[in-house]
Amino acid sequence: MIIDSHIHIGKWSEVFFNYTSTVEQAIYVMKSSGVDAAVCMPTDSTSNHELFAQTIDNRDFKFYYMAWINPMDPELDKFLENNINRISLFKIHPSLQKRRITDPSFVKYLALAESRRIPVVVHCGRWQEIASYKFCLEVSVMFPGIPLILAHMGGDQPGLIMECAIEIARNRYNNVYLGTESVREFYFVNNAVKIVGADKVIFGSDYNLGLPSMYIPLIESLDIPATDKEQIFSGNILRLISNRS
Amino acid sequence: MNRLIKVLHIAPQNFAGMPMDFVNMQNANHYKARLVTMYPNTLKFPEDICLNLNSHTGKYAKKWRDSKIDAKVSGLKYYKSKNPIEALYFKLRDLKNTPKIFSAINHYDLFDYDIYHFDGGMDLFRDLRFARKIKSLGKKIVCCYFGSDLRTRGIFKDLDEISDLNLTVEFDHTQLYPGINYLFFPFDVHQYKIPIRNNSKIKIIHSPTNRLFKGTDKIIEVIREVEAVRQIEFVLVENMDREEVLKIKSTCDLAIDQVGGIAGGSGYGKNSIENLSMGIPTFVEFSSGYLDFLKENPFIACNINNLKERLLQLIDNEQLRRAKINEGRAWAEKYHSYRSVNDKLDLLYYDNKII
Repeated sequence: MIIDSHIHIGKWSEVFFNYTSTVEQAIYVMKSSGVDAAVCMPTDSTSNHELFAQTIDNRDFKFYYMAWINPMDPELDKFLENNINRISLFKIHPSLQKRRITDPSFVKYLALAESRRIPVVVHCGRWQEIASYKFCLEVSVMFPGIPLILAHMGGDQPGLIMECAIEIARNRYNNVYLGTESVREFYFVNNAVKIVGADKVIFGSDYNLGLPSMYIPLIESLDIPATDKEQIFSGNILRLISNRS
Repeated sequence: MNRLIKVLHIAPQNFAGMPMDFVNMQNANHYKARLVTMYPNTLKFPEDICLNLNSHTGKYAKKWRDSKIDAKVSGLKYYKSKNPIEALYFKLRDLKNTPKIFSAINHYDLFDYDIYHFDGGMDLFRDLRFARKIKSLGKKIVCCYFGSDLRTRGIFKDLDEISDLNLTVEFDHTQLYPGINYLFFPFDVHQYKIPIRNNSKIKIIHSPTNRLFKGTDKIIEVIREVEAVRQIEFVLVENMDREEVLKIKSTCDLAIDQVGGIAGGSGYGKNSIENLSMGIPTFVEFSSGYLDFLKENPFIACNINNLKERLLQLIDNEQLRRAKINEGRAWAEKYHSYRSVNDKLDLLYYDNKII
């Protein structure tokens, strides 16, 4: 069973030249790639409300909903209040929000996530001043009840991936996971999985920017037992979603 | 995989609509599920594939079944025939039912499923030949228990041995069968809305299916005492069509489920979750073990000795009533909604190598 744990649907801002994709296109791509279910979130110019309405009870494909946490969104609190029991994860994107995850404006959402054990996916990138994995590790200490998934395996660059994996293993950040979305360097993914353990790695494609069929072979090629690959493809995310309270 | 996983639920009856709730939940979550029942239910719950097998429902049959109930259930009980006559009866019954069951297997392609849920832990045949056959085909078997099946009838040892996953929706089963997996029963919370109510007197509903189990006579006595000191309207609903009950319920401010019944603190059922979904704070008696298990819950836990006091608290405090309305609805969504229960079941499937 394959769950793509990181997909976007909707319209991007200028950051991706207003590129737009629809729910129907996402379903087609997921199904044709052999994906059984997907954790979806909006893009930066699509509202939570709009995407949630189109996906949560979709009859054609199984979506789990990941709420986009932009503290400047005036609709966000109402959206969360009305739908919190049907939201599976939160997504925080420090680079697009131009603020670190440690920014005080995120605190109430992190507290909400912790009180309900909602996993939080955090974009980790190369912009170290804002989107470094190190800020996520700080948050994981302050909010030990939140399962934190560090997207792009902590930075989408071999040096950052390895550094992040080693730090997670060395300091035993038990509530921290690595998401594989958009990481191409299979050799380093393999090493990172060996360092943190397959139970800490979650498959994602970063669709509509990437395709699941680009990244599924990467997990399949890992030098680990088949049961570990199953965990990465679906077991770990099922466990996090199921453990929400 | 990328195709819908097919799940066949097999149950003696659609008891209280529970097996069908599982089917509906799974169909809403991208499984392809169907329900085969052996006998039609008598309470107008929906049917899917009903085999309409003959069952003995007369007073002697009931007496025979009742005679097999142990007053004290202290551990896991395995089913065995009470005597050679009963064993012969079930052999003959299997023989008689065989053509009808075989015809349904062919007609509905019943071997063409991936997962088989034996709801109530019972096969189509008493000698378990259908379960053994599907196991030999490499299919996955789940046994799900709903009440007296595990508690008083006992489980079928041979079926238990080939089961890949055992589930229960009853708290006391977890004490009788160590290691069984508890699931909150699924309920379609979102089909209910919280109506606006403007009653001049607080309206309290009690709708027993069995007066002894629900403590109805004792509850009525308490209600009489409350009526002497407060302006309330008490509605006792019995033997009424479900639609009618729902209509009445939607006008009520408070509900009493079971308090002071002979089962003593056996907790809540579908009726209570329906109440919470409609924003009706509900009084229920729990055993202390049950309350420990349900650490967070919105019910007004009470017993027959403090029911009056708890009722007065709620009648006199509108703010508390409002808080309980919201708390109850949110709790029902959180634990009993199709999405929430299905997420838990998916993980159990995964952990037991069913998906």
